[in-house]
Amino acid sequence: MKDNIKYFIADVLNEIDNEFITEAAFPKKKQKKLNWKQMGAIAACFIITIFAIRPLIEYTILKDDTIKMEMVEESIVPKFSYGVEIVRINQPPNSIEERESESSLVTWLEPEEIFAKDTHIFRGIISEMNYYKSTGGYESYFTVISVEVTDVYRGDMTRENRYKIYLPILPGIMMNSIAGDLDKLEVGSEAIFMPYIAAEESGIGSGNSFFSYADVADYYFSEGMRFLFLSTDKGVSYESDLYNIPSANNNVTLDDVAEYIKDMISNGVKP
Amino acid sequence: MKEGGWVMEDDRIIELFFERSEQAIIELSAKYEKLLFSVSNNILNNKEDAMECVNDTYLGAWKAIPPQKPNPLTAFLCKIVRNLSLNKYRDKKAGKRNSAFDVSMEELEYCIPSASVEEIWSAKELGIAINRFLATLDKDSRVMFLRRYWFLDSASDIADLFDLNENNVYVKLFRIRKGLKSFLEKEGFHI
Repeated sequence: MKDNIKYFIADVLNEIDNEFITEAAFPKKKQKKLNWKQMGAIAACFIITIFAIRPLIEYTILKDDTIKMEMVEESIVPKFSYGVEIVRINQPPNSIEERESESSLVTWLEPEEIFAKDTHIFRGIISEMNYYKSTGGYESYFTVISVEVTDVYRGDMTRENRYKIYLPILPGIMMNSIAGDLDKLEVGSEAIFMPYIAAEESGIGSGNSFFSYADVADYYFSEGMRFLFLSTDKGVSYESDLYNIPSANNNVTLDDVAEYIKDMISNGVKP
Repeated sequence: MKEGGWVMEDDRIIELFFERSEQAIIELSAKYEKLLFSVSNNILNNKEDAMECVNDTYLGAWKAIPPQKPNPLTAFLCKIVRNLSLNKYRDKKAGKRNSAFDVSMEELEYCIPSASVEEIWSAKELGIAINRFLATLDKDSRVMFLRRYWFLDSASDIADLFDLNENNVYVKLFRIRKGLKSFLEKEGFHI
């Protein structure tokens, strides 16, 4: 989301009546009386839920305690970033010592709202994966995949050309709770991708440094849960709780996803 | 919060400001610090910066009262801390991603005409229209909207407040946003 839009909406909300603000400032909590059976059921559900979501709320996956020194293969000369150094490494470290403070906040949006985002949508096959490290004000590891495009649903890219996409993770080593299937991507993976366009101002920074995704890729994913439809041996992996994709035999294929997306776009959902 | 949770009435706090008694700040802090900190921290996602904004809010109140006699005091303070926090957020270029502020504004992007039409409709005009929309809602829906998009509460906090599950909250918020979009379109604001 562009900053000027964000600030404009914030300015709009600043005009909300004092009366409404006061009404909502100290709301009374709704109380519901529970009998012992309900309380028991809730307690049981709570325990089960905690165990069920525990893997999801882990910020990083640490597979190995030993840290291998990565070899720097290429330094990137940034055009848009400042205060940071970006290097391509020939192999990712076995593990990351410090936990990444990636947030698990994900906006709840309906499919129409997601397709209205300013994303390009295309189908393709991953032909290359490279790993990078950025140091300076904002230190992070990340991955850039090259995708050979086989079909375009929205955007001005050309079939059979390759485009680079920034992933905020190292598959299998460093991920976050909203990475979704980004962690499962590998060379040869086929998927429908819905990444954001990496503009000059797209990136992350702290203090006097800024890392622009545009220095390393054409597109970027901020999270993979809802913006990726990955073909796997067991069918297409996607956020089925969100997208209601029709299919024959309840076995959704990438072709079904493509039809669904075309239908959503043709129904007037535009970025 | 004072021992026993006792807090002073706003009228009395304002009297203390008029008397130039530093006790005014102590009472203000006892009653409002948690709320103000929450608003600021939800924007900045940084406790130190948020605390700085809260302290600056106290200073702002000290300078403004007198001559001002804000009524309601709650909204007056909340607006100060929100504006200070947004200013600080703007200064930190792209430094804080994924704060509750980012998430909430992203949800509203779909139903409020934004920067591209900024020159056509002012924030004030749109804000007034949103006030008209809020007046049509029942109190619970209005409070839910404000808690999410003004106070920037998480869905889980709102679920807790209304004794609902998070999914119910998301659905209700979606319906409110849909209603807002439709209302604004009827009022002539094209999204």
